[in-house]
Amino acid sequence: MINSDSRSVPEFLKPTPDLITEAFWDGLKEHRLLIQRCSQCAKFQFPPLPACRSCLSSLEWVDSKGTGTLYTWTVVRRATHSILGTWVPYVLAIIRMDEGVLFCSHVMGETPESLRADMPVRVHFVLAENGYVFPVFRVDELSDTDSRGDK
Amino acid sequence: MTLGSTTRKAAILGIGRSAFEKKSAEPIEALANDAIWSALNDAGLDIDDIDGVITFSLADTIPATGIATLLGMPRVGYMSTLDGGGNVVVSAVGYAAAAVQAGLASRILVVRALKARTGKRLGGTDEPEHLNTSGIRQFTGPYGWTAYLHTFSLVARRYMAEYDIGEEKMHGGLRAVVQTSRLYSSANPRAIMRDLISDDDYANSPLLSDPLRRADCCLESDGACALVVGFPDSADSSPVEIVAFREGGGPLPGGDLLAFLEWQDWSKIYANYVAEELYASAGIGPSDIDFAMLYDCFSSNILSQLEGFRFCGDGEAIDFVLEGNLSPGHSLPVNPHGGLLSEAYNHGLNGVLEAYDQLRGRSEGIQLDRAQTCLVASGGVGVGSAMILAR
Repeated sequence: MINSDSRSVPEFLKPTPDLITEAFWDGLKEHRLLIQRCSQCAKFQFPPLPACRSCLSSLEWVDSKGTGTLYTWTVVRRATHSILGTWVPYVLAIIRMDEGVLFCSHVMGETPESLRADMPVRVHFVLAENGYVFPVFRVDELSDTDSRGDK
Repeated sequence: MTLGSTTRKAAILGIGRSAFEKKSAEPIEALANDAIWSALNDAGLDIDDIDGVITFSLADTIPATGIATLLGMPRVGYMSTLDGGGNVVVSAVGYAAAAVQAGLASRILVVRALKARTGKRLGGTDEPEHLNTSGIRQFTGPYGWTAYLHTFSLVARRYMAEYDIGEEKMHGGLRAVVQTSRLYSSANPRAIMRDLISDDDYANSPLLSDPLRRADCCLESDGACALVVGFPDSADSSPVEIVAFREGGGPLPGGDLLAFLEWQDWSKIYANYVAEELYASAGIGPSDIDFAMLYDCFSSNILSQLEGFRFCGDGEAIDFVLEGNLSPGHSLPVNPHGGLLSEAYNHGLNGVLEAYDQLRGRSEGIQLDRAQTCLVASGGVGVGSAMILAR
C-alpha cells in the first residue's frame, strides 16, 4: 500500500494552488507546515482564508506545531478512478491538529488494524514525483497525550 | 419560511416518472417528457396550467428554461435551477410551495431528469472532474479523497469513534439497512434491484472504503421524476399538503459537497440542525411521523438521519434499525420503495414521489397501513432539506 514505508516514491495528485494558498505550498518546500493565525483575535485558520472569519482582521502565516490526533480515516480498497489504481489500498485520514484545524492526509507506517481514533500523530514531509512536498503523518511515539500511557 | 402558519397550504397535485433503468437508450429529454406528461396527466392538468419550473443541477441535468422550451410552455414564469444534489431535493419542492404561497406562480413543475449511469456519473468513474485539485480540493484531492464514497466513509468512521461502535456492530447495522431496503424493493415493480440480500451476500459484498461495501452504495441509474405543486382544487377534500419545509445545516458546512475541512463535528449531519425547526413549524414531533423517506446515497446516511431527526437518541441508530423499526408495520417504515439503494438513483426525487403514492394509498409496492404523515429528507453532511407531507 502506498502508505507503507516500502514504496520509495509516494504518489500524490498535483494540487492547484491559488492566490490565497500559494504560501502554504511554498512553505512545504522548506518543510514548514504553515497555517494562518489572526493578527487580532489569534484564532488559527485552515483551510486558508483572505481574512479572519471571526473579526475580518488580517491573517498571518505561522508554523503549526505539527502534532495532532487521528480524527477519522478510511482504508480505500477499490480505486474510484483508474489513476488511483496503483494506490490501493491506502489510508485516507483526517487529522485534527493541536491548533484545532483539520488536515486531510495519509497516515504512514501503520497497518489498518493498528489505527485508533484520536491516536497522536506528528507531521512528516515527503517530496512527491510531481515536485510538490506533502505533509503526511506518523504515529507520534513521543506524545505525552499518548493513550498507551507509557510516556 | 414557516409554511405551517399559512392558512392556505400548497400541495402536491400529481406525480409522474419515466422508466427507471440502469442504462437507458432514451435521451434525457425523452425521459423528462415521460415524467412530466405523466405528472400533468396524474394531476388532471395541461401545460397551459403550469407557469413555473424548478430543477437542480449536480451532474447530468436539463436546466429549468430548457425544460420550459422542451415542453413549449406558453407561460414561462418562475424558473429556477438549484445548484446542488442530494441537499436540495426537498428544497426544490419546498421552494415550489413557498413560491406558490407567495403568489410568484400558480402551479410549478418540479423535475429531475438525469442519466446518472450513461450520462455524467457521480460514483467510481473516470470522470475528469473527480480529479479536481483546486479550491478546497487542493488539500484533499492530492491524497485520493476523490469520491462521495470516501466522504461518507470518513463520516461513518468518526460516528463509530464518537459512540464507541466496533466493526462488527457497524457491519450489522449497515447490513440491516441494506436488507430492509431490498425487502421493500423486492415488492416494487419499478425497482432496478429486487433480490433479497442474505447475511452472506452482504458479507461477500466487496469492501470499497471501510466501513462501506458495494452493497452500501446507492445505484447509478437513468431516469426522470416530476411532480406538480400548487393550491389544491376545492374538489379535493384530502390533498397531500406540504405542511412544513426547512433547509439548512450546521456552521461552516463548506462550499463543496464532496470535500470539506471546515465542518467541525463529523458525527453529526445537517439533520441535527434542521430537525427542531422543522417539527416546530409543523407543530408535531418525531413520534407523529408514520413513515420517513430518508436520503440513502449510502446506507450509513440512514443511521445519521435517524438520529438527526430524533427518531432515536445519539449513537442508538444501529440498535433502532436492528430492532426492526424500519420494516413494514413497525414504528418507522423507511423508504418503502427501496430508496436510492434499490429502486433507482433519481437523485432523491423518486422518494418524494413514493411518499405521495403512499399518502394516497396507491403504492405499487408495499402499501403501508399507516400513511397519513411523512417526513421527507434529503442531504449528505453539512447541508440538506426536509419537509413534512400530510394528508
